[in-house]
Amino acid sequence: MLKKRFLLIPIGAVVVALLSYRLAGFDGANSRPNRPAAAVVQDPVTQPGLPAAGTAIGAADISDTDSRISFWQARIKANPKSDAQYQYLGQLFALKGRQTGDVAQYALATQAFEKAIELFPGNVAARIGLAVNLVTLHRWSDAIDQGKQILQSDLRAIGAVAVIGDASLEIGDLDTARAAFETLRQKADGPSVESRFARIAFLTGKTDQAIQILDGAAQSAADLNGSLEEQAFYHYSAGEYRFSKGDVDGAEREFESALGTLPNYYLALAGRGRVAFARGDVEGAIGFYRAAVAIIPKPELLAYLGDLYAVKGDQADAEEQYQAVEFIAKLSEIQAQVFNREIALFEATHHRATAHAVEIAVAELETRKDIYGYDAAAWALYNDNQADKALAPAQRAQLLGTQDPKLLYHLGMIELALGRAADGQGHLRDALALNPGFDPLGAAAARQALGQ
Amino acid sequence: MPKSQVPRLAAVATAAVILAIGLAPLGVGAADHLDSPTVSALGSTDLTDVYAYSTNDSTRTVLIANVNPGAGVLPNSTTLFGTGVQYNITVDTNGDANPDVTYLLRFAAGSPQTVKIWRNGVLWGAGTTGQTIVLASGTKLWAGLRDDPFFFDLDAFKGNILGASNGRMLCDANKVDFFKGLNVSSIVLLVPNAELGGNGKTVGVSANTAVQKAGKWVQVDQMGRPGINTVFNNHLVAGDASVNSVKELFNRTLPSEQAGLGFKANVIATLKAVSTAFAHPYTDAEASGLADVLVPDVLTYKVGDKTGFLNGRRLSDDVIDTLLAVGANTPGASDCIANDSTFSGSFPYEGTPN
Repeated sequence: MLKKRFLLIPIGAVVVALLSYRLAGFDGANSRPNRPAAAVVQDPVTQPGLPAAGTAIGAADISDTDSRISFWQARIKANPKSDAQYQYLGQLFALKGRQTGDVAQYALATQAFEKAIELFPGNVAARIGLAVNLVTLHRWSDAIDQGKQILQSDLRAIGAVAVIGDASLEIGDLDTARAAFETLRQKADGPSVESRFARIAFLTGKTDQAIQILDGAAQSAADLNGSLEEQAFYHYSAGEYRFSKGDVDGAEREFESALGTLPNYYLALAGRGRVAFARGDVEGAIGFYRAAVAIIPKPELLAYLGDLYAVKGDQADAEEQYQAVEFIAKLSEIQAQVFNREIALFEATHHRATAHAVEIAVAELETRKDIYGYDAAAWALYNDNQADKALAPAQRAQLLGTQDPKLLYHLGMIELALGRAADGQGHLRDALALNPGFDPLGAAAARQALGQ
Repeated sequence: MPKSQVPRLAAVATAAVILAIGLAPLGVGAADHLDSPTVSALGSTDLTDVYAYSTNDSTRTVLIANVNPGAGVLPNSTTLFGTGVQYNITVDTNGDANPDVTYLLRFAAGSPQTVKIWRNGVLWGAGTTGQTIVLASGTKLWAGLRDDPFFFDLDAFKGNILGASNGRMLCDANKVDFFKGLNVSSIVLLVPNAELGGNGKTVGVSANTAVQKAGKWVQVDQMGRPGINTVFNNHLVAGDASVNSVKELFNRTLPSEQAGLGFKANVIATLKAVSTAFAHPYTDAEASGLADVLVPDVLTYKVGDKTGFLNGRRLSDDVIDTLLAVGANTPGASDCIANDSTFSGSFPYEGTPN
């Protein structure tokens, strides 16, 4: 399993480390936190006091969520006939899933929602919770079906509208997504609605508009006293888009804001790592990524950390991260389904199981035809020596005009491989113009291909 | 029951779930969606109860507005007032359903939060939450976290009346107060009666919350009497698919405009249906007369009168029993749940938080 080496945290990350109190617990001897011993748990959903099976993989601070879970579990024990209590419990498990990256929490959330619906079929919030879980687990068409069913029984169920919009966006159906979000805007308001438009803006090449929307969303969330996680997310997202267009300083400010709001927010830690790399501070980047990975060891974080080690010339550490990614790929069907795109990209980029990368990327394209799905398929084909088949999907990935350096880099490399020198060089230059430090391996490969 | 309690907690949860879906961090390159955070904003704008009652010596009136149902324990709820939210307690003293006295509160970030209060547009005072603030004319203000004073067997109501399959009936062996152990964020005002037109004056008390949209303050919730929205804007009169739209509209409508929007018809239809189901049907005239009282949704109160609900509302008044009796036209209808909060004889009266 993952070994946690002693963290050499550079000065730049000291503040972060102080705030991320959980990091203090790591030393060379510890393996990753053990799962709770398999005590016989009759009903993991409602067992008070015990961590639910499959509790936090990493070290995200979930003490507040856990205490709320315990609160409702105790009340369920005293009053088992309340659908509302199961609904709250389900929502808290889903929240915990988001905070810890532990996909198993969503299974618990599903159980809790189903129990709520059993007690009161009219509990729309629980039905929406189930539909949201389907989105999380990448069951897009099931999610859309559920969303539509809920709307038929309750026009006001805006949560269902959001499910339909989000799932449609994930499978590349921009028109349905946009329509759903417009409906959301009519029926509700607030940063949660506006931020969805930010994503569409970015996808359609309007990065500045996306940033503007998210800046507004962060402010609104603060004014309405929204949750810290929500506020941090908007700052983080704004940071991502700023980074995409090469505004590294701006990105760093956003990631710092996110961390100021939510001290151990792993996404913002990773963001700061990317900023560090873009500035040439590989050691600093490694520090941030180790912190992020310690909280939630997601494949994309592990892969990036591995790449940082590779850039540094530390092949052994790089390999350790890469093997962790491969381990996750094998973990469980559910994990694989949720992470298969990251895994395909990883396997393609690092030339590990390129045929498998093609297989999973092309298979996913059947049900999920968004631009990043086309990009993953294109990159997998290219790295599997099938550049000729890679061109069409790579071009398809550019259809919306998204200003994402990674998409442009992939397209450029494929075009060069097919002898389309002018196009290829143009796209590689575009990628580097957006952000010369967009990726540890990719930026270097692009420069090399351009003969720089 | 307070109109907010039955669909309210569900509605908070419904909207809170909107965000449990991802926005992809495209810069990370994985192009996979992330689960974005859920929203908690609604709790801070969500009114749970409004109270208005006389002090024992009939010289002053207590006005209370509570928000933040399940403060701090519902998913993503907090124990704080919203910093971008306007909290209004209004008193109509001349019977036209338009406010004549408006207390407006705003809160800032921090712990404790600073609070400012305006009276009819004039800044009246400031302080922090958890502190008694003395204002001109002897009015006192207190804002902060309190034990939720409301009491109701929500699950029995769902089982008995809303068709839940939970095996619960009102007053059965498993009766339980759903709201015991929960907290709310509370605004408490102690106002000299002269401020409200003097003893004997019949006034209408109401509360509302507003947020800014495109630079304008827009009402998002309002409340006068308990239970009105819950009981009378229901599946029966609005149909399953539209009922939440109707409730939403009611929340966003000023009391002075409610009569013109068909809500009276909902009240009449509900009174007739429920009373018939309890074998004591209201006549058209009776139902209509009641509807005229219940809409507009303001808490009518005779200044200085200590009687209690339907005259104003005291903390320990069993509004559920009253509403069940009225709705069913059956005196004695009850959920068999009594007040279980400990109130104080001195300001700010509500119980300390759980």
